[in-house]
Amino acid sequence: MSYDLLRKGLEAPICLTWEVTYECNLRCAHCLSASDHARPGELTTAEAKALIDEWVEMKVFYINVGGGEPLTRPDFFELMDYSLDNGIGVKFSTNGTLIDDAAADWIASRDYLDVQISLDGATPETNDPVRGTGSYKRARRAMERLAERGFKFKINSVLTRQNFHQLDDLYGLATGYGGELRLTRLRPSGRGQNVWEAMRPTRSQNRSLYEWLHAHPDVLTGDSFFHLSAYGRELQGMNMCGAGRIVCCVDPVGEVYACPFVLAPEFSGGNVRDDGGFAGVWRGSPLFEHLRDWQVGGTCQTCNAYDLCHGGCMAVKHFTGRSLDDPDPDCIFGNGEKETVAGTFVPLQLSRDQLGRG
Amino acid sequence: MPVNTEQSYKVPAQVSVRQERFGGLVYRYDNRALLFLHSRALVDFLVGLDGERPLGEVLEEFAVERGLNDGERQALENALGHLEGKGIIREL
Repeated sequence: MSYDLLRKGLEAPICLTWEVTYECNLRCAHCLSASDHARPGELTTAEAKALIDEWVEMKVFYINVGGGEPLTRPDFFELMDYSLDNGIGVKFSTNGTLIDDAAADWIASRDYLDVQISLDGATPETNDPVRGTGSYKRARRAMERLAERGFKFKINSVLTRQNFHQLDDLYGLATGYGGELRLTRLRPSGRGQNVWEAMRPTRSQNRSLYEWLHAHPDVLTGDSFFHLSAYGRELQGMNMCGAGRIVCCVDPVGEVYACPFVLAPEFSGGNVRDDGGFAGVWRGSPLFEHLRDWQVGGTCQTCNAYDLCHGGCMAVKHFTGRSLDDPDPDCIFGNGEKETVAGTFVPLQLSRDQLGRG
Repeated sequence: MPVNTEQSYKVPAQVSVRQERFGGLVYRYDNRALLFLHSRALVDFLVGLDGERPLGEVLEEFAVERGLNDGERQALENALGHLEGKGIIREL
């Protein structure tokens, strides 16, 4: 797929992430949305359905639903049914703790529904320090419930320095249930800022991961690791940053961010409650227009691997205090290495007008 | 595999087709496959395919409307055969 074709943006997102609530019953150390409690002004059921209506009109193919823990939202099943009944596929991410028999029955009864259960280690000893005491056991119980109903789910793991040695075990666990493993890159977003340096995979682990992913083409990554394609062979996926181009993220209060890893005001294109709604933000936001014109500059422009990695992840650069024109901190050539300043924000190179809501 | 121009075809319910600047996107909900189509004519044809008439008749009408020459019309028909193989259109 031509990078130049996609980087100019699409008429509508292929898929988008919808964080339906900030309420969560866990406090994961690396939570990208720093979720804890529901926030004032989260979308009402009627507003949420109107938003789904817009996505139907725009022919968004599917939505990735997360949070927070989406199952804490009282109207969760009503909204998911509404989406599925109107032709939008649903993939939702859950910590699994609230999947009781009734929830499992509902999941198993629906078509075009994918479920990802988060697990950040193949054992409680690896998982629980990150996701909370008892979280491993509760996630496994949810998996058992779904497996009993013949539902093939995904296990979603944020790859870290601490769980890297359990890659094969995680893969075995997922495939043992007849499901799939999905690996996600740790980002220094939300509470992830606090643990990024301590938990990010080492360079040698990233090198091994690149080989491991090529050896396991059935493992999903959501394009998380495209920066590693610079090792020579493209990893599966679109191998590009899709922020504001082919994906975006709507948060619980209706803010539309360029991607789920940049939930920060400087990356909001507007709010679904603004005039023009979601479509107005997607089609007219100056920020999104800027992202569709922008290419990573600096060192990356003269690097012979640029066509493979396109400069890496915007969110990781931003939240480690780098300019978006800097190389990714995990650049395989070491071009991105400098002292990381987690939590220091480097403004986008946009004018005040550009930052205004479109 | 060539399409059967004497039969009617349609895009099944589990497939969604969307027009884009470069042509269009097709998504299959049942196997989560995403296809990029680089011909706007092909995408427009799919969007208008309602299964009401034999495919050959619809193709001829579309070719006249769009001013397609014989080669372009044949290319469109070949592409439809390819899409049938991928489950994007289905013979009724």
